[in-house]
Order: sequence, then structure tokens, then C-alpha cells
Amino acid sequence: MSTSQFPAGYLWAARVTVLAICIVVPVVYPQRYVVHILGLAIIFAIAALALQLLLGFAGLLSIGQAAFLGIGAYTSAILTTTYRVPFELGFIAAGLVAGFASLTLVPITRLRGVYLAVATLGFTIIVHLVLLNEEWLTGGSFGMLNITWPSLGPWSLKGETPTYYFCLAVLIASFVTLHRLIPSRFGRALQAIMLDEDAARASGIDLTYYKSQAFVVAAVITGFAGSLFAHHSQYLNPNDFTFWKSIEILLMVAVGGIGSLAGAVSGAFVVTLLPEFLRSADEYRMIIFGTMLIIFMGLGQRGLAGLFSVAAMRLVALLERAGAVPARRSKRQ
Amino acid sequence: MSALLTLDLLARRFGGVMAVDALSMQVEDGEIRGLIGPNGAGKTTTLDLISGLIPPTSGRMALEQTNVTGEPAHRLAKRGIRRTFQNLKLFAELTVLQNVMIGLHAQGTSGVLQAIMATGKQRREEQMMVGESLAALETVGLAGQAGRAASALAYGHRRLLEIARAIVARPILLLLDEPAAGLNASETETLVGLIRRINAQGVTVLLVEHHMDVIMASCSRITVLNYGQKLAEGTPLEIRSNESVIAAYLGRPGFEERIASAYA
Repeated sequence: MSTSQFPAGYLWAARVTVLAICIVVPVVYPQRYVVHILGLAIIFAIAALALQLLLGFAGLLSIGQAAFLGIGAYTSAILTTTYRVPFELGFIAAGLVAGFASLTLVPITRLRGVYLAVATLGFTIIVHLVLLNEEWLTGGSFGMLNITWPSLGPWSLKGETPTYYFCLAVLIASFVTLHRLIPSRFGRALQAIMLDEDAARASGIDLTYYKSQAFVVAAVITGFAGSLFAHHSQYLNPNDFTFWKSIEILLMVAVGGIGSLAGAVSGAFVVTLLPEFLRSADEYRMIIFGTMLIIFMGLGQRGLAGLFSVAAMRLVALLERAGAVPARRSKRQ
Repeated sequence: MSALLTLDLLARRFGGVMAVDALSMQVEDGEIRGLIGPNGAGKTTTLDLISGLIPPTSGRMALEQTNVTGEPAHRLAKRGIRRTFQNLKLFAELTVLQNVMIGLHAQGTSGVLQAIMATGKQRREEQMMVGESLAALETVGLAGQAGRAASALAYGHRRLLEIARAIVARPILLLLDEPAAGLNASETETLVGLIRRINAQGVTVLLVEHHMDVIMASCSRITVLNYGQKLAEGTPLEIRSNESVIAAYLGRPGFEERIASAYA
């Protein structure tokens, strides 16, 4: 929605530039630590995209996304480590199991706003407790060690850089998926529900069915992200999937801008990378981080995506006035 | 003529209030039926019941002799009952075209996987929806506004957009809840013409309206509600001369002047 008033040509130029930067960065900065953190940001960007579908396009405030991330991560880790299943199958199973798990949320899809948020929060707490206490399956608080690197058929993606590129490929696939879903019949139904439930019902849309489907789609994508998380870190601990992680994913979407896919991705990068940049500030870094979040929110409801598009519009207008680019005809009437 | 919609002792209670009380009526296939009455008479509740947005407390409802009592709104919409809302319920942030396309939801079939893979069938369905929606916008006279945000439309145009969204799926029964509210005289005239044209295409219309000239100009029969009950039913001529309707709703000519002189 938020990108609609922006000329498509510039939008594509921006996307290609960002993608090129993502591809080149590991070549320019090949340090393990840098590539690892960037890979993590990409994984959370996938999870943030999934929440963006729920929050930004269906109006469903979920604080349960860490649960699906955890279910995906543990499914993939258990299958590949304990049962020696190849990574590809573990990865696919992660999405499917997370998707199935989200079906338990069908009864609460009728809840709205804060009530839905609290119910999904409860779901995160339960899943965390299961991961913590079912030691025979998850290793309990000890966690799971020595998880394999990802692999694709005969190719092992051993090492930070190959894994980074695989995560990037999954991010692109997730982005394209949602980019196609949002203007589709499915995506329109979700937006109709978000904007007016009565009008949506009277137009023939089954609210429970579409809300549930939104949760399943988001859970499958988050499950894939969870699998990547497990194999990217090669170590899992239940405390990676507490409700705080759900809040973090929500922060990414809010900072990036609710209702924008590009916003969710940039929000994930900011929320993941900013604390790392602030490491030199030592114990003050979370204070600085918190303050910056407040400032980000204070700048406007549409987050980074809003700021970017305002800045880009101004830039384009400036270039047009200078005659650097041909002026486009105004679409406004 | 046969009954398209039959209400049989339909009732809806809100707490201690009977908003609609044992209402029985038949809407004939192809007619424009007016539904009038004072504020709080239960007109909008009746439309909410017929469109399935709220379930009845008791009673029966049949569409084309099929019992549809208690069916949810989305299923009744699929059966061909569409409506507009008194307080405009548009999808404000979406474009005019997208608003109308949502009205075609039940006519489509493609889901998540078809959209992700952008199958040929899915793309043809989208094209069909765009085409049908533009045609509906043409009918109401908003074809030039398709790309604008619904929230950017003028008030009268928003009313027309709601009608476009309701008729795009070619309903068999169209429920209009005060479509002329807030319109000026020329807009009201256009609206009456539009309602007649929609009806001429075979759509039965149930029209709730306070503008008596709109009711008198377009309806073949009128049902009058008062306190949730049916007060009277008949042709516009019969209703205009019905004593109990005059007392409850229409008022006598010169009534206000007599009140004024009584207090003078």
C-alpha cells in the first residue's frame, strides 16, 4: 500500500541496488563475524516479512512469531541431527510443521487487537516451555549442539559465506512470494478484513478462513526462517525463542513501517545490526538502542519505509527540477 | 411473480429491546421494495438480518424458497444478497478499483498457491475481475476514478462506489441502506435513475430511505416498520393515505404549523 504512490521504475532501481549491495558485502567484508551477523539480519528479515503479512496486511497483531521460529528451528535441527535426514528435507519440514502448529491458533483468530496479541503471547510461552522441558527431544536447557551447515543436494554450503547466500536466496523468495500475494484475491481479502470486517463479510469473505490462512502462510515462512537460524548458528537454545524474540520481530516491523514489505526487511536490519554497531558503547548500548527506537517511532507512523519514500520523493523532485531526469506527469487529478 | 425473499416471524432482540419483532414479509422477484419507518424502527437491523451480519433470535428466512435462516454473511453474499451501508463502509486505503474487486471475491477461486505461482488461470481470473469491476464502475459513473484511493473520493462518489461494490457480482437481491443520505438534489436524481437501471437488469432491490421522494419515485411497493413491527404494506399511493402511517411517520400536512400556533 505504501509503495503504490511511488513510480515503479525508481522502486525497481532501489531494489536492484539493495540486492547488489547484499551480494557484494561478503566479498568486501569477508570477516566471519560480519558475515554471520548479516546472515542473522537476513534470517530475521524473513521472519519480519511474515509478521508484516499478518500485521500490515491483515491487521492481526501476533506476538507469537518466536514460537513458529522455534518450532521451525527445532524441527530442522532434530531431523538433521538426531535422525540424519538431509538438510533440504529438514528445511521443508520446518515450514510444514510450523504451518501445522499454527492451526492450533484457529480458535483464537476471532479475537481482535490486544486480545489476539495476548493469546499469541501465551502460545509463545507454551512453546518455549515445551522446548525447555522436553529434554528427550530438544535437549532441554542444554540446547542442541553441532547442527550441520545447510546443503543442497551434492553441494555443501559449509561456512558463513555460502550459508549467507542461501539465506539471501530464501529472503528473496519470501519477498517475491508476499509481493505476489498482497495484490492477489487472497491479499485483497486480508486487507478487506483489516479495513472493515463487516464490509468484508458482506462482500463474501469468510473471516475465520482467511485469518487462519494468513496465520498458516506466516507460520510456514517463519518456520523456514527458523530452520535457517538453526543451521546458521549450528547451536540452539530454548532461550532464543522466548516472548522477547516475538517482541523483537514486532519491533522490526514497527521500526520498518507497518504495511511495507521493504520496511519489514530494513527494520530487521536495523534492529539486528544497531546493537552490534553500538557494541563500543558497552553497557549503554541498550539504552541508546531504546532511545533510538523511541525517536524512530516519533518520526512518524510509517517507520523507515515512510522516511525512505519521503526522502526519495524529494530527491526525485530535486533531480527533475534540475533537469537531470525527465519529469514524469503527475497522476493526481 | 414469485417471492424472492420470505421473512417469517423474524425477530432480533438486543438485551431487553426487540429491534425486529415477529416481522413477516415477502419481497417479490424483480421489484423495488421500499422499507421505511421512524428512527429506531428496526430498518437497519432488518437489513443486517437479511444480509446475515447478525443472526436472528427467532423466525425463518428463505431465499428463492430455500431456507437460509442463520447462514453467515459471506455465504448469503455468495448466494447473491449484497448490500450497502448507511455509514459507508469502504476499504478506505485501497483504490476504487480494488474496492470493487473485493466485491467479486466469491466469484473467484484462486488461492495462495495459485497467486504465488502466478498460474495462467489465476492471471485470467484477475483480468476478468478487473474487467467486471471497471464495467460496474462505468455503470455508476466512476470509471474515471478507478486508480484513486477510496478515501480521496467526494462523499457522493463514495456512496456510488459502495453500490458498485455491491452490484459487481450481479446479485439477485440488493439491499440499499439510505443511499441518498447526504446527497444533494441532482445527485439524488442520478441515484434514482441508477437504482432503476440496476433493477431493470433483473436485480431485486430492497431500499431503506428517509427521502420520501426517492421512495415514491422508485418503489412499486412499500413496507412500513414501527417499533420493529410491520405497520403497513402497500403501493406508494396506499401508504401515503394510510392513517396509521401518517400518525407514526409521515405526519399530516400542516402539522408543524399547528404545533407552532399551539405554542404561540
